[in-house]
Amino acid sequence: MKNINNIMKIMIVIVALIILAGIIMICVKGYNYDLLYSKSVRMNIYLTKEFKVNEIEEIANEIVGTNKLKVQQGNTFGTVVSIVSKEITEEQQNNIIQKLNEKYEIEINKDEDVIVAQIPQVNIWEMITKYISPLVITTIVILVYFVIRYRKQGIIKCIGIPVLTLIGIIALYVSIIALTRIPVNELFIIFLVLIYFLTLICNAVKLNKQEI
Amino acid sequence: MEKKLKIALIILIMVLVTVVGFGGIYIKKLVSYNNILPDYELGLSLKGSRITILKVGDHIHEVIRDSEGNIVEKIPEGADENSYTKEQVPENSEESKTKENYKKAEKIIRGRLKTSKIANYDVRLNEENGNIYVELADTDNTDTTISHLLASGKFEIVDTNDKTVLMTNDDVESAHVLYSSTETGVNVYLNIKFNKEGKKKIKQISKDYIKVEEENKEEETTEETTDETKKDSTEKTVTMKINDEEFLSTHFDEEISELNISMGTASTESDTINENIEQAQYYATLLSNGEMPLEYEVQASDYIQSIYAYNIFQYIMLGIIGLIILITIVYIIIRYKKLGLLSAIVYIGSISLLLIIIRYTKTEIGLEAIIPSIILILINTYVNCKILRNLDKDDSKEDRKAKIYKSCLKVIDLLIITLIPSVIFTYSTSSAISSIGTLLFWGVIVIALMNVLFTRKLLIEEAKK
Repeated sequence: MKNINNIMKIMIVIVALIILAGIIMICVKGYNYDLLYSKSVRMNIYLTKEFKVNEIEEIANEIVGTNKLKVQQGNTFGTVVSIVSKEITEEQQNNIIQKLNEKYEIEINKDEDVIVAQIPQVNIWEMITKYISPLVITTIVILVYFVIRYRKQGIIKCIGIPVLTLIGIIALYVSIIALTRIPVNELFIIFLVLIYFLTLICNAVKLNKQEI
Repeated sequence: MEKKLKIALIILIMVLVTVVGFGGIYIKKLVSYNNILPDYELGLSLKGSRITILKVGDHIHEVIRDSEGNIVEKIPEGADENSYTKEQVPENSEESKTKENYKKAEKIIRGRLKTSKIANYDVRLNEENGNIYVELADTDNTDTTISHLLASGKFEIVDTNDKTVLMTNDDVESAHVLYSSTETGVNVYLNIKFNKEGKKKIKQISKDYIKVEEENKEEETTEETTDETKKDSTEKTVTMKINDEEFLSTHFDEEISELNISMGTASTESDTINENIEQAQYYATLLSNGEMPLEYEVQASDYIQSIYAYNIFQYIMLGIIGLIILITIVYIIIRYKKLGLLSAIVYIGSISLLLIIIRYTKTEIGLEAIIPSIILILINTYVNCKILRNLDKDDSKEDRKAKIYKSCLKVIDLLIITLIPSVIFTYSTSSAISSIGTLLFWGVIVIALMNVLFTRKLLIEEAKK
């Protein structure tokens, strides 16, 4: 029992250190945003012929010289291509157009058929905001349910521990993402919500077991 | 014999549900076979969206002024051209292109999207040049929505005669759409609420521009004595302008503190009513969010497929979910042998039934579906293990019934706790969040029903005595 308590203490210290390091990383360097969510350049090209995304990706990779670019197909007719990269210089844009002209035997007019726009970085809070009210309402309703259903176990077990574990695990998750520099995109939020649900369910199972 | 028949029947039902759930129902139509089950509805994250780039307008307008400095549309025919001056005026002056105005424009665009009840959008501002990136779901109304974002939203109430500006956007608090049913049909109104200052102004305006009626008794004109009353009205009216276009001219019947403007005429036809509602909603959206400080134009607006649409990631995620299901099923079978196998058959049937329900309820399947999928797999495994754990192969039917009943009571809590967020999430305005709720809700219902109806029945029938 003493050993378990010691292990628990060590675990809590490690988790606290990770969270602290994560907070420092977020304050100093922020998150590593995925390309589609970070400040980037989007180059939309209107082609007169159908194309394959991987062919354009190959050309763009060769010219821009980085693997950090994404190519998206446009309309359902497959004649609009959107190349997204951290930076696409004027020269690189011209080279892409020239290569596409050669490959598809077409003539792309840069002024009419190409649109280049600087895309600003997404605000992480905006990605999370829409989830906040359903998550807060859910937490309150479930905590009220815990208090009514498991009142015999006391307020600390019904509210204190679930709230602390929720905050702790979510803080640990966001800190690990910041520290490991895993790119932040939609999946970051999806796994955040999944972790939230699993934590609540684990708390419910634990309370249920103790009740029996 | 009867026992084996019941078990075989339940297994057959499960096989049928599984075939339909995963394969569909194909019926020959002319030359080809078509699946009569509805297709899955893909969400924004897997399908794609409309990416629009709005840039600060840089057009130059030609403004013609007469000798008195008044702006005229064109030089009248035969007039002396020398008495008119032409100026080249940019639609957005250099002084107006400030960071504050860019931020204000972004805020108004966000407000308009929110007021229009657009569920999923991404708006990003380039603070250096004021360009705004807008990502929306691509629907039949997307073009209309984008055109609404570009409108100036300028609101003015002016004196019709001398054009004195009496009220502006600064006086408006919010605007709403109201309806009323009358004998002639449904009336749609644009209701404009004013702030404190605006209320004072509209009260004063409605007093100053009230319809004045003078009753003049006319002399007898025929042999029969009749009094005729002639109403004479004043011509003092106000003109309401939205987007610099005259919206209506009117006077007031009484002192008011808010405006109710009838949109079109009362109608019983749904098309006309919807048209009136759309029009009222458009004006309500503009008035609720203020006037754009700058003029914007569309630089590009294209439907762009999701990066996950044809990406290997989609198959990896499906593979991972499939693998988790497989591992849990194999675990149940190895751990509980024959009883585990019977439970696993209903488990697969439950997944198949959920797939059919998803098709019919048109639940959006996006990346967010990962959340309910994993939760439901874990809950179903937990429920199955909880039921199977207490069973003994030598149990009588009565013992099994009692043990299963006891186990079911223990897992009810877990199902209730999953149902709570499912209901809350379903009512979210965001279709992505709402789909998580819908999937969870139907998943919990399917797990409860399938286990009570089939798993329980199979396990009881399997008992020896």
